[in-house]
Amino acid sequence: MAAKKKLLLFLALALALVGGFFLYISLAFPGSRCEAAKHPEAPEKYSDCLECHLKVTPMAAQDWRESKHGVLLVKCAVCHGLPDGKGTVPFAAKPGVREICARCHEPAMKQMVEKYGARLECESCHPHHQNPMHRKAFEAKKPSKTSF
Amino acid sequence: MPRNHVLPRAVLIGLVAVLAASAWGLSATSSREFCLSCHEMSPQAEEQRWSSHALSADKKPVACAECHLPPGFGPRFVAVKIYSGLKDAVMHFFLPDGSQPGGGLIRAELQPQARRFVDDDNCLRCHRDLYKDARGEQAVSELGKIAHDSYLGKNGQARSNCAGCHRNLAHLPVFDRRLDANRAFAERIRKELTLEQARAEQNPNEHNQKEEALP
Repeated sequence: MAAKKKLLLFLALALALVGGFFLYISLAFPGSRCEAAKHPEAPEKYSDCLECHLKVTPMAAQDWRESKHGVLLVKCAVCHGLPDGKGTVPFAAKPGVREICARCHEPAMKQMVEKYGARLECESCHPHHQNPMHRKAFEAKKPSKTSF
Repeated sequence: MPRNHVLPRAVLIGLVAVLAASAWGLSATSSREFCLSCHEMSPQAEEQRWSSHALSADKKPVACAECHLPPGFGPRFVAVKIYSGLKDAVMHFFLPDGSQPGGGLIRAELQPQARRFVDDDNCLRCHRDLYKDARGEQAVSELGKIAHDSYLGKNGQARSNCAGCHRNLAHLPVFDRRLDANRAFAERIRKELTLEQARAEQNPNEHNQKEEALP
């Protein structure tokens, strides 16, 4: 009886040690920073994403401004939704191809699927933020000449 | 000597021996040579040769551990050593089709895992001034200045670590070579690969000397 108890205690200790180790790893080395996993709550600023994102993600903001989406003023919320989830589309850093891109680009997507087969990752050839105004969508963007 | 004095001493000596052995083991298994002794690491090593992080500002080769392991010998370092050691061993011995360089690994899935363990402190050890390059000579771009302002909390608050924005610094898988930010790096790799191919065709015996040229 005592031996069984000892064995149980040993097993529990080993389990706690291994569990604790993986808990430490997941907490000390999060895949994305904890504070970045959730958008900050500032409802009064939700109507102007660019005001903050010019500072915190300047590259994405600049690329968007120079892109077709930027020139046509397709604003952030059209694809990314609003942080409080009250936008017309769900709030997401990486909007889905089927759900979001297809809302406007479905005719073109249909053509592409007919020509080349289904490859539902638009971003790899048509970078949303770098889609330039006067060149082919899949050509590399030249270094920026404008600035805010 | 009474018997009850022998046991504590033996335990103490054993403990010291185990600690010394693990300290030696931890540093020995953190060397570049050890990392590259597995064939899975050969693409990464090859790409690093042409990256901006092949040599440090004072022309010393940059070792894997300088970026990929937390600095010092604290709990963070030991935890990552145990975790990545176990993961690498499982991947090396139990992954099917691991005979080719790179093994059966999917690099797009490895990238987020690798970025998890690149500590900001590692970057800041060489990049002390975030408004200049590592040599302290050339100023960063306008966008870089804005982004680093927010990283330092001077203007807004960045919510990303270094590796959250700066990607493909030392390694560049084929699928990332199309990205604009990686153009110079991709161009260097392409050029060197063509040169190497030409050299190999001219003199097939020279091909094997590539390994020795590693920094």
